[in-house]
Amino acid sequence: MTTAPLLSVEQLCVAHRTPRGDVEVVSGINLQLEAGGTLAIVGESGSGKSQTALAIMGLNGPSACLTGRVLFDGENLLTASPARRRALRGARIAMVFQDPMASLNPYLRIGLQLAEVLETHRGASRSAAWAEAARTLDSVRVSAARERLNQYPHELSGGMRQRVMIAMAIIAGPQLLIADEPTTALDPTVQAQILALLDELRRDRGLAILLITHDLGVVSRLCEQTLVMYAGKLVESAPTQQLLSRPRHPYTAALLRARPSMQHPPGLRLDALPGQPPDLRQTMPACRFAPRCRYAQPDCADVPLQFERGVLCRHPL
Amino acid sequence: MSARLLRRLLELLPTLLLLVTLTFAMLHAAPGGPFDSERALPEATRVQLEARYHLDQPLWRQYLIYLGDLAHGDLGPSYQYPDRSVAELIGAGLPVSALLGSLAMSLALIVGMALGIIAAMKPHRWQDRAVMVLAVGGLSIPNFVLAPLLILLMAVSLHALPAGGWSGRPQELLLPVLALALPQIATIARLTRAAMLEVMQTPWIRTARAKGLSERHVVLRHALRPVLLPVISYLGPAAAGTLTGSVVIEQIFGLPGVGRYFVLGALNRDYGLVLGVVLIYGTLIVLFNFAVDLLYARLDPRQRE
Repeated sequence: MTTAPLLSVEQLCVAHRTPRGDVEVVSGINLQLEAGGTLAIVGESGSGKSQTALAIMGLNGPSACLTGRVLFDGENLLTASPARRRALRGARIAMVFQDPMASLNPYLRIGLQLAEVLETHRGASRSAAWAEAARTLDSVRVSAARERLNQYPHELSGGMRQRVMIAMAIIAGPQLLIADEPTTALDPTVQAQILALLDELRRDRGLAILLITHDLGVVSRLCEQTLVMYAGKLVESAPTQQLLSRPRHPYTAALLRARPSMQHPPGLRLDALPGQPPDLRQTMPACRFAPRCRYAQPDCADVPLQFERGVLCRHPL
Repeated sequence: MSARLLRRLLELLPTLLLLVTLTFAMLHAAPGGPFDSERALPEATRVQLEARYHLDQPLWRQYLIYLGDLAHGDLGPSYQYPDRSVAELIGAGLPVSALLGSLAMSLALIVGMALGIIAAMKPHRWQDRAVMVLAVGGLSIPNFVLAPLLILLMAVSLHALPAGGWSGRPQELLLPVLALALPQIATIARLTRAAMLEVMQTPWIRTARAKGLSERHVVLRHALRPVLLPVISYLGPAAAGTLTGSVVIEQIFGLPGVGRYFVLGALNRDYGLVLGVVLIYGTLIVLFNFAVDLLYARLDPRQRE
């Protein structure tokens, strides 16, 4: 590799101070994303994937304590000043959230919510910002863009709202788009449209996309590279096609088995993964997945693990 | 829109009729009458007075006579001030009361909201704790205790402000406004803080931050409007509290407002005067709540049709 990656996360740890002690929700994550590249982070709720995304944005909240490095274009964001982080947020790094109904301000017009990004970052005049807002809505194929500007979020459908969210994220021309479960709250047909839109933005604008999801179907449609997280740790990293066809970590394999498919015989139960993710406040075995793993060996719980050749497992498949 | 507005205004009339009826019944249920005094009046004078004010009639007739006069906009005579009508007395006191009330409400809104926002921006820090201590104090000290304490401190000890009376100078209103506003400041600060803390947790505030907006911009543009809603819906009860509070405060500070006539009227069984004040205050509260409803719908786009 000759050029430095756009985004490089090194040994990122996120801990939250709670009244019942500190909880480390992300434990030493490494990832890299090229300009214009795509990367997915997959995992179940509580695996730390959203906290990783929020750490890149600097939005983990006041109770969070972050260590490691988050290099964006060579600059360590974790040591940057709050003002510098604000200048990057929305302008060069943007984020789309899961629930587009709750993530848009219900009291403000769509146009204002779009335009304020440009007014903040580019000092654009009100009229110029609103005109650009209409063009951006148009580019994410929101019909009657000009009239939409004067509407409120509750007047739009779910799919339209997510398009508005995406327009809001790309309006200032960022290089990195973090999409946290962007299709989870949407109908399957609308999901496909939103994924196609994200793919198009990547191609046309050279936008790098970091996709956070629990849906392996979504990953296969959008991302070249996939990371799997479990209980705050990275357990597998591989090109998406390889990960889906030949998973090496037992957890990835379990996730794939738990997916419903069209070939699945009716009436047969899905192969759901037994047990619960560990409580991050408790001390965990060396391999955090071992208690739920069907391939676990006696040494899995005791011998410390190294992330080697794309997998965090003593006995990869 | 204006037809609907008119209909909703007309719907307020039954509320006021009920108010008049209940007040009328309670006044006449209270023992004693307007012309009972320590020195008994001569029997002839008494009969004459009662006949003049229809007090010799059965109660239901007195009620109908009052309603009949009311329908013509006549609030009737005052028994204690025979040379002036109830409407004249209230008209004389209303400017002072209105000034006192509106100043207290404005102060409560501005200071209460500002304190609530400051507290919510620094939760569990000293700023928050200071505001909450003030709020608990403001809520638990009744204004008839607070007012004498203020007089004692500012007028008697420091000689900084007049202890009471009214000659039209602004500094004479300072202590009454403060005493009247403090409980409302406390309630509004608590409401604002709670609403603010809740709104700041919503996903749309996270979105606003993700856009790189400054914290000030996030609070003023994105958080303030939803925070205003609970505060505005409290304005109805706040108006009621301010009006009833002003009765006590006017008495303590010797301000010639409507509240003093109410107290004097109630003590002297001046039926017409008490009914008049209750009716005016009731109308104000009902209209205020009506205005709050309209404003609420304006602020929340989801409530508009």
